[in-house]
Amino acid sequence: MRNSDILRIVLFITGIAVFSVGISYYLWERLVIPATIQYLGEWFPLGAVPDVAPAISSTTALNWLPTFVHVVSFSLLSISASRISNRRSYLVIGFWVGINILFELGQLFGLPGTFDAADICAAIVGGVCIAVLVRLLLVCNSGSKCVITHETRTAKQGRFNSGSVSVATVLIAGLGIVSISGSYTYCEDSEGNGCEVIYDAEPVYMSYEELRTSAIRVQPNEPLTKTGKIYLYQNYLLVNSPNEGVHVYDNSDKQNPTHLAFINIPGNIDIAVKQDYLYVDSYVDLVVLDISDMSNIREVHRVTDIFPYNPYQNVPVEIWIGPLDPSKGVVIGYKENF
Amino acid sequence: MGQSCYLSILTVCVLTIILNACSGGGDGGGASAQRADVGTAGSMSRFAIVDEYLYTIADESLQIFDISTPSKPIPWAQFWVGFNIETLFSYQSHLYIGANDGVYIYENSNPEFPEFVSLFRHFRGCDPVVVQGSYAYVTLRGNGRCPGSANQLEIIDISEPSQPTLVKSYPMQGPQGLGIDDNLLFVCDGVAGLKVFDATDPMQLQSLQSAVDLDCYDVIPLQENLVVSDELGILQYNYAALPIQLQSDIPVETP
Repeated sequence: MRNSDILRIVLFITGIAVFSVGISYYLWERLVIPATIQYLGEWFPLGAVPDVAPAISSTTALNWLPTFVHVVSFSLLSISASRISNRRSYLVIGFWVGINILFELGQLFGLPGTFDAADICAAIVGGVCIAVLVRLLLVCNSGSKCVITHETRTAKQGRFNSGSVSVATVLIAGLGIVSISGSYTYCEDSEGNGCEVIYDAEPVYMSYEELRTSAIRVQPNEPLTKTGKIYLYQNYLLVNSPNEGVHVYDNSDKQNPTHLAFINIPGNIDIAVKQDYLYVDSYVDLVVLDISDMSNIREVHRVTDIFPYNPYQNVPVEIWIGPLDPSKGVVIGYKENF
Repeated sequence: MGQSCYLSILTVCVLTIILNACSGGGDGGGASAQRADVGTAGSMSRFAIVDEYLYTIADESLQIFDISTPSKPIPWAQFWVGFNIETLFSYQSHLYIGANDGVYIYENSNPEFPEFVSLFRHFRGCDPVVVQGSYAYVTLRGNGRCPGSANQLEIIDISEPSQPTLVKSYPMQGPQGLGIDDNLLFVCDGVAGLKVFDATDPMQLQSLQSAVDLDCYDVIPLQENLVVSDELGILQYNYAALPIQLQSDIPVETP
């Protein structure tokens, strides 16, 4: 095996290793599965949101790392894909630095995420590092042509199947573009706009005891503040206020519905009634309320832990709340750490 | 429960029957075909009551409760349905479950054991479904938290539930809840407003009036009264004559 082949293999393995560092960073530091992988996950379900404790606590110190890693790993991989020369290498490095800067600048014009000058620096520094590395590995003749150390120019003439080389180049370029576009589109808020994931937040719990003993109560004069699902039962109109409870109106006169009560039910989304028994969800529980007397609504039964534990029921998807401890209760919100 | 209470329930039942007859709604659809001891939900509902059973859906499963004793629901069975199931609609002997990837149809003449019949696949999106007669009406929304990018109303022929077939799809802006009563179809179409269609011929929906300027989430059309859950309040319209007439508005109060 020639020196150039060995060098290419070494560069390829180094590129893969550096890329793995970037992927690990996303999985363990940002605790976010990049959008491209998430999208695949919808077709080949991997489980959407991991509810495990993070291995490394969230910090903002290494925000520039993914850009650096991306430039370094894909420059190495691209250089290793075919015959190594200085001109080609610089072109490849310039390409990846350019792509990264383009995506970063794109954040100023609508791409999701926050523009950070540190990312621009990281891209340039990464590119310079690889350029220096290439320069050290090659010995330049008097002209502009450079060759791999200890190898003659004739020996490095390509023997490789040019077809497989171009396939490798296309694959690497494709993976590079996909990985960077994935990293820039992983977050959408509830309005479908790009957003910044807030990593440094923690869940706020309501204990199972509180959920099941004191949470449900009737508040006659609570105003309607949010609207959700609606339900008609006889002359009553029931309106869910998402995650808060149910407003009950006497709707005999449709021109003048009158407010009878607000039933405070944490984590309530859905309603159904049969024979004066109101069925509601309250986070993980199904609760039965007797509404035969609207002035004396009371809980008569509860099926506990029947619905899935969903920590994101009342937390926007762009907030990363973790680590979770379901034994502490249901998650009713989040608190940002400053 | 006192005798007067039974009497009042009976009165309500009788009134409901009379009102139904008066409205001339023919078949009347899923909404007004309900028995008076069970209420009527909107298209976004994840709960449905059929006879002695309460069905609920969450994430991937259909949970069935035995409510033959209404005060004491007993978890009866749980069926895995599919990923990201979101809405549940019961019509005659079938259950229609709206999911991100399509509409799951279950045969339900034996309510304790719903049997999977078919899956009508569509573009990815959030999709409440309502059914009347031989047609299912599905809205697809592909923005916000919903995957995909399709925004449309689809009409599916379900006269043969094992072979649901697309009749026609109509472009929409960002549709959510919908409801149908006889030939009137109401669709909450995001910022485009509440739309009213004549659905007599599913191949040719006719827009009956300009969209009402709302950003609504769900509707229930029942006995000429349309209840609308809007971002800014609960509105009720009379649809005995067109254009629909606003009856009342319960505004949202900002705390």
